[in-house]
Amino acid sequence: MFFYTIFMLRYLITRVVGLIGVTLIVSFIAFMMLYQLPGGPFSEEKQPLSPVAMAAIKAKYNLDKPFYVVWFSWVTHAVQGDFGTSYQAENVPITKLFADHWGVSLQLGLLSLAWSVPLGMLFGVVAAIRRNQWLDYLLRFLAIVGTTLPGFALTVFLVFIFAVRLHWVPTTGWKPFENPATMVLPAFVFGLVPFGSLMRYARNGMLEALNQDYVRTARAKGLVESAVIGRHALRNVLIPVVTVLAPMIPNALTGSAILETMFSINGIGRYFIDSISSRDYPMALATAFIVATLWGISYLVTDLTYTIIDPRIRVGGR
Amino acid sequence: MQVRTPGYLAWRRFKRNKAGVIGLILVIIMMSFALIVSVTQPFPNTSVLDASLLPGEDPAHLLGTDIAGRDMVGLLAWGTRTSIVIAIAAEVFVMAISIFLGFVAGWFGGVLDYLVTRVIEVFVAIPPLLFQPLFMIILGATLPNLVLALGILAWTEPTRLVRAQTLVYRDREFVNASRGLGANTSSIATMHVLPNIMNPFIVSVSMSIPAIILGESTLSFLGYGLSENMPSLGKMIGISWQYIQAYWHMALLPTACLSILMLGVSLFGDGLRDALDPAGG
Repeated sequence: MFFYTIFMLRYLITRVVGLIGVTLIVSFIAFMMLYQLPGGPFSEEKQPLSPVAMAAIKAKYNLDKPFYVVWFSWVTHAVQGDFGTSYQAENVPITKLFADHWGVSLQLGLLSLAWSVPLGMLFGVVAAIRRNQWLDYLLRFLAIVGTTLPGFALTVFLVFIFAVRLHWVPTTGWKPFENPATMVLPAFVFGLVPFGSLMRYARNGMLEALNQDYVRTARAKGLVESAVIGRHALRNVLIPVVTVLAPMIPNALTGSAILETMFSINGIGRYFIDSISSRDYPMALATAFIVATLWGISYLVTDLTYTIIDPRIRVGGR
Repeated sequence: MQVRTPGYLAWRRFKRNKAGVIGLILVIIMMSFALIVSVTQPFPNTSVLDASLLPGEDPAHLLGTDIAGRDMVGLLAWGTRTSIVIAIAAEVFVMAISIFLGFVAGWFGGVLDYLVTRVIEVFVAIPPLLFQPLFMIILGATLPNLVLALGILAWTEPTRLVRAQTLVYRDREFVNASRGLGANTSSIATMHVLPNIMNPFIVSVSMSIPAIILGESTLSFLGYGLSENMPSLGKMIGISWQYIQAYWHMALLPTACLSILMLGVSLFGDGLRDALDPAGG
């Protein structure tokens, strides 16, 4: 046990160091590319300024120094939680932009997980029990459509049917309190990928479980079918579910940039997309930095969760 | 009697998978549509007189015209062609990179392996929606650049697979025997290691095609794809999205084309996996 603890500690430290290294390199690449962009916010043709004023602005935003110097100073500020000010919204610190707009992305992400996780698991189990019957085929078809069709394609279809033709929901917007109907389509589309993949994994896990000896034993000793499934087989479904769920959480937290753009939702993803076209370097960098860090952490947590749920899996082993 | 070659056996397994066969049929339909229309008529750059006809309003333009008065059938076929051409080109790039890097990392190990693994970790962490638009803005909206922008983020998974499989075969007896007989590394790679890992490799590559098609259409949808006069389904959707109230066909038709293509490729990939690599995946 003692050696295992030491081993785990070493493993954890290596992983965290790797995570920090990767994040730094990614931010460096992003910085380098942003520096190459033609037509920055202070390009000469956009803002004809006197050389003195130009120099002052460039000095203010650190644009007069070589990029690795700027990158280094950016990193030292970023790790202290200071991501600078956005170019889109003058003098608004990026941390405040995040504070103001992340909430909407969070609502969208959590709402989509709130329906897709329980329903995906439930339907996966139902599909496995009703294996090769019409309900199974229908649910599997739904899962395939949900996971393979691009979100924006589904959005086009659904908006056309339910907003343009049937007028059941508005085409755009996100007003949870004034008009909850605005939330239906975005949350539905955003939840389809987790729904489809969870269903697939839950179905496979359940099918595997139903063929196990312990399930046969449970049946043989006369348990009713609901108890066989609920108390014995269902546990087998949980491990694959954790593995698919974990990477979805940072995805849900950071919001879907495309969906937020299509539905005119003022979330962080939309700011990110806009930041590239409007050359808002600090915003683009901050989002990339935060998203990359979240991803790294979620992968680490997933790997550690495996070892807790299933002691057969040892980290760092062959 | 049919000779039972591995290919024949795989084809027989594939045929039994209904979803995979449907996928193959969908892909063939979309490919022939794109090929036949784009060979028989040029990209509809010139507009007809009547702008934005709805489908069925004019027998000469079966699916109507777009807001600039261009024939929808031609636009859709050329856009589908772009998706397919880019997917194939990007996959060729991915295959070349992943076979080379994966084999080198797995075979030689040591520093090379360490470097390749670390580079993969970095590339996995790069956010595509930041990297790809920047790449296109800096290098220009051309077809080769688009293929590169998509391929650079797609090679990691197949490379990991080739590396892991090379590790498995590196110490097998027949590989050792070949080495003992004096075979050089490149011939061991091409004669012994690669033929053995071909099946999972093909599966891994085919599973990454939908992501490439999706990446291209997403980039084009956001306006960072091909330049103005090049056809693309994603761009058609992006531009016509705002007219969905009046000219619904302009957004719905390219979306339908893209969806059929994506569905076909994904189902076909799943079927291929079950046929070629039944144990894995």
